[in-house]
Amino acid sequence: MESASSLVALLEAAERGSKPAADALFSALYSELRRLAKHELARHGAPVTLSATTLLHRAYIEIAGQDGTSFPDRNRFMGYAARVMRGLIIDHARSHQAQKRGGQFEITSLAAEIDAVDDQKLTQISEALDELAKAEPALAQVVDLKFFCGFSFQEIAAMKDVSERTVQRQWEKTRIYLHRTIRAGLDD
Amino acid sequence: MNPERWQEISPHLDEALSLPEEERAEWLAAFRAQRPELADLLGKLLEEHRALAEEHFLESEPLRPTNEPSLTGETLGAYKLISRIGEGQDFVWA
Repeated sequence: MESASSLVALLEAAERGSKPAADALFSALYSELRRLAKHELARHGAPVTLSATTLLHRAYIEIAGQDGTSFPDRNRFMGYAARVMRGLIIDHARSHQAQKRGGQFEITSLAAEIDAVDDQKLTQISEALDELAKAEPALAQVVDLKFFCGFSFQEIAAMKDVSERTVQRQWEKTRIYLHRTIRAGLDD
Repeated sequence: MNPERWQEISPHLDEALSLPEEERAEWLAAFRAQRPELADLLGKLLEEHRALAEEHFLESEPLRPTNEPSLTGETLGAYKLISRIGEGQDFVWA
């Protein structure tokens, strides 16, 4: 995988608005998260229970610990990685849909049966979030962290250095946006 | 909803959502007097908020276990599973 220092450079360029850097950062984190999930499987030799939150924390620890280069900001990392995790979960839902077996990154029969509606709905949510992120990135991030990654309001508030009430309000607001976008697809 | 419209309404929605539910109708009436062109939309969004809260929109994790066979009694490595003691938001990865 990428070294921590190049990830830092990508993160900084992405935050300055570089689309290629954002894409490269996305795929680097995506591979890293997949690698970690597979590694966990190999280590246990059996299906393992691993939450999205745990996976993100572990990815951060590994990346931050590399090459003696410390990744500057855990919270910025979590923000990006949560968006990547959303992609991972949706890809998983799609491949699970397409082929019940044979995916490399698979949730076993122990876990989830995802029906077609959910798969489509997740994709719609994701597209609506990408659209919203252009205008209000903080709102889209709360949904990534809360809904897709399972962080609590309290954890998100600490990460973003805002009050828990603010996070809750952002969450409610974004739910309205998504509900409306998905339900109606109407323009006002 | 288009992004421009959303950005216009967004700060007002913040204000409304920071109020207790029972004060919102009165607040909206006052808002209507000042910004009649936005009040209808804002009213609809607040109504939508009530509806989505009722249907627990986005409150459960995206990948939800639906049919879990019991593992009780199985042996995993050195461990035997005696009983399930709880569940959380974890996914099972393989």
